[in-house]
Amino acid sequence: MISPIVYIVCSDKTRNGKTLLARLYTDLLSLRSQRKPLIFDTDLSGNGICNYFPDHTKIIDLSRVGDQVAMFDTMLAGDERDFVVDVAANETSRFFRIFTEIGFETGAQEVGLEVQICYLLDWSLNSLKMAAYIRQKLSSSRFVAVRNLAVEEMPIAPRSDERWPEVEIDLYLARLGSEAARTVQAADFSFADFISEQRGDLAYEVRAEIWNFLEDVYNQTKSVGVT
Amino acid sequence: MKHTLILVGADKGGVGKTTVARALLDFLARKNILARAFDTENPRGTLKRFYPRITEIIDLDSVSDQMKLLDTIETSAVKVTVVDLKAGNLSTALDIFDRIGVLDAAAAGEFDLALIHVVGPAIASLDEMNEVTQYTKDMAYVVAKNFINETNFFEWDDRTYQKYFAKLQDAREIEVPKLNEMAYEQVDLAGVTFSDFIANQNAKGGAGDFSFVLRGYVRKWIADLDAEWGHLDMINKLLDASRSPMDEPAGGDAAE
Repeated sequence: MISPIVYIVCSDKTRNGKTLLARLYTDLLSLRSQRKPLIFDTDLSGNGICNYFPDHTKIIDLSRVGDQVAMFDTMLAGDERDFVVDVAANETSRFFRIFTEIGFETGAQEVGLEVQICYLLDWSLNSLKMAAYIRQKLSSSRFVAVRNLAVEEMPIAPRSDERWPEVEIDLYLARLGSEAARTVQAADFSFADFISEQRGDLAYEVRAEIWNFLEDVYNQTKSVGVT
Repeated sequence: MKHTLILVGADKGGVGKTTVARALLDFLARKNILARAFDTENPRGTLKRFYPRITEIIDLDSVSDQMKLLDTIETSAVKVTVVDLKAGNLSTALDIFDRIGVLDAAAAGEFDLALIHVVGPAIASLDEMNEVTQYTKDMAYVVAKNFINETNFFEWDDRTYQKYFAKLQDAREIEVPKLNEMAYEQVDLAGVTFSDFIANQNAKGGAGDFSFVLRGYVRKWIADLDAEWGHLDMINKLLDASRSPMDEPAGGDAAE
């Protein structure tokens, strides 16, 4: 029997593919189980993952303890369900403060819930520091460092007197061409439908590109042992 | 082990006095130090709701109740007594203890005496500290700044506060950290000890249905508060005595 899992997708920055990765995990989880994963979206603007899975998403205001209870206690109810948490960039610190303070990992272990933290990082020192900070807070969760190659940034090298945290990238998200990128960004696009070959309407080149993208993600996760 | 009498009080209501008494009893229980409690909030007794088996409600104005508390100090097998003084009753209670010789007995070393004075952010609380110092010469005097039920708290003017606190040469200070309001309310509603709430155990001893998140907040709060208790000599003395091989091993519930 496969353990239930929660993917916590986060970053210290916006617009770097965080929601795309959360959607991808959601679709992959819905393919492996009859029961769709429950999604928690901490982006109160309404522009997050709730647009893609409105029927399976709960918006969570992390500043409200009632919402914290609604999210964390639901995940720890032990009802064999999978979860995806899309953590808004401006809520990342608060999320992990609560995560640590309430001892979420202990609770997850008690109910057999696997926890995987997927952190999208860029080349900046702040991003690395946040990644290192989160990673060192974890005890039993899997930390997966993700870099999105579609985010164009110049690598920044530390000054000679600086010592930057070392974070090894576990997963690279390939850059999609503009047409394929537009396709997957559309609110009605579902990776699950695509994998189930229900998108014959798409151009061959676009389909091939998205397949390559998915295959690339699959091969990387397999090779590094990420669930 | 010498008997220790710990008074918890404040001359101002609503500063979290009973919460501090509950937290102290919780701490002692976790450290396997047997304690008994007296609740002077007669006739209701909030403390008794949380510690029904070890708490007795008394009226400090009643001589027979004074006897229940004080005449049993020497004879009780339980060596720690915690008294939760009724709100607004601190000075009066200290005056009563002074008049009936309790303070003198403590000064003579018959037992250890401590006062945990729970204070709020108002100047009135600072004035209270000055009023009680006439009684605190021969006891461990602890000022507990309570953050628990305030959100924008302790807006003391630091200079004013220091001016008051500087006069209290031998006083020790602890901070009772803030506990999330919802977590506090849920423990209150459940009518259980903080430790039982964390352990998800209801008032009847069965499995509770308390939120993991709220239990987590209470666990963190208790851990922070434990560090504060650890700053106090009188607490460390109790811990040392409880570890001493000369004493009988502690265990079980004091009142059972």
